[in-house]
Amino acid sequence: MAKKHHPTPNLDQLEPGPWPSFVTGLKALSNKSEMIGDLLGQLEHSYQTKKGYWKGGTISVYGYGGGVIPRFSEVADKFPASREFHTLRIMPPAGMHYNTDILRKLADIWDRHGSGLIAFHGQSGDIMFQGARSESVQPAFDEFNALGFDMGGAGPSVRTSMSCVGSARCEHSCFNEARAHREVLNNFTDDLHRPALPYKFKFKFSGCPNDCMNSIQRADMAVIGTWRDDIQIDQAKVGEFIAEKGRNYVLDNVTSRCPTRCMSLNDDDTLTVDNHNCVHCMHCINVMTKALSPGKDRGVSVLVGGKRTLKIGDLFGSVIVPFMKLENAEDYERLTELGSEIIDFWAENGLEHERCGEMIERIGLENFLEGIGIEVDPAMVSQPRTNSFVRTDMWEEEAEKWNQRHTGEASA
Amino acid sequence: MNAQVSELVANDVTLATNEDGYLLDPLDWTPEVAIELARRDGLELTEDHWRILNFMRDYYEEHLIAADARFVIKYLATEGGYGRNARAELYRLFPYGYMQQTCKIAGMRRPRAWSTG
Repeated sequence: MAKKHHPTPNLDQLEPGPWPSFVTGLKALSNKSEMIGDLLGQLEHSYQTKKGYWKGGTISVYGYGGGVIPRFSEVADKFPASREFHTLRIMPPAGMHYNTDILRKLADIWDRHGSGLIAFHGQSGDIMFQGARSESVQPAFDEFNALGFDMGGAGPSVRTSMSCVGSARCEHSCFNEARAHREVLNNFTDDLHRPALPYKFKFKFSGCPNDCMNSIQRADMAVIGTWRDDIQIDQAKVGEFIAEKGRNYVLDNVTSRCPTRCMSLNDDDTLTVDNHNCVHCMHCINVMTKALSPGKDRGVSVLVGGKRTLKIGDLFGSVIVPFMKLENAEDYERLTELGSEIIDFWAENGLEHERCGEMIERIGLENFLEGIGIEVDPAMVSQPRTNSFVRTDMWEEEAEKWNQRHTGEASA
Repeated sequence: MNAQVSELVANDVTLATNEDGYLLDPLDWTPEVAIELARRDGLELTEDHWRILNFMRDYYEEHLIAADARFVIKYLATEGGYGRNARAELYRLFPYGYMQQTCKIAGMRRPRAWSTG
């Protein structure tokens, strides 16, 4: 049956140009889905009137308090097929690994129960199955669930987590991202599905300081791979790189772009790194992927309090654990416990609609660290010598305290 | 979202609700209203339900806002004696969620839209 297409002169303007257009995609889908045809109609209507016409509602599936984003159209009389256009957030596997069989099954389920439109993946890290009618939400979820997938997070709860592709494809990986992701998130399943926190809480896992998951900027608790020994240098590969690209290339693109000037290119075409001054920016490693790689003593840094703007401006996460190993079951348990401590403290002390980072700003990092039982450590501060907020009065006393703590730990 | 689009008859009194069935004025709430709202959701209210609803009504009277889910869970954990099982108990009683079901039956206004980002 031929579907009715609304004229979309404004949307059509988004189709020319070099980039793929979502309008072209939606038009193609509208040939088999009436919902999408009316969705395009409503979007064009919005473009012309410069107003949005979606409103929220209260839809959930049995046993869950979040995960469905209800959307009802306020112009349903004009565009009846997209009258209800709810979204199901479904959690992807750690590292977003799928096989084509699973992808086909997911798409088939959504063709049966929804509009066929899938955002893969949304900014929240979920697979966003967009365009369900109210009565289709539960049966669609039941089928996803039977396939082994679970609902993602929405509302004031722990949210769906993200981890980078990690060691599956990337040589920079410094820990088992997928395992950390699963172990931590499995511990917070209840907090994810049954919202009862002051606001959202996001975990993200990046395998190295490139931080492909943008966890510093976005995660309330960011776990980022790092190393504490020396960058590994394969001098033979350095030689090959120079032979191919030339010395100037290395000077212009590697050594002179080191933020702490801790590298030098020697006359015999070898590289020297002053590891003590290296800040793990990853630039040289990204450029010379064969010659340089992260050190061998690998682990993670944990940062807390990152968020995008809302009440107060954007915040980066603050380092609360400069380095911890993540190798055996106890290490993963410690990471999960740290997450629990942070969430419990924030749930107790956060105001309604206040992110963890905002609470830390309000009460002070020192009080926060005391609350979750972590001792202050100079390694939490990046470049203390050039940081104008670092106070050096009482230096001797503080240094003595630090020394005592560490002697205590060593003898314990 | 404040416009009356629907109504609810409980104990021979007709009350205004929004289109999702939430009361427009929480002060209209009576136990009979709760029973009717629960019936629409296919729930039969037991003593365990009432304990939660009464806590929420007391909280509303004191603060004039709906209690956060975390406060209800804390109440169940401590005074209800459920400890770490408090959240499971809340969802056993109101399986479609705190905002979606508990708040509605307790006569709260429809909570503002959640952050979904």
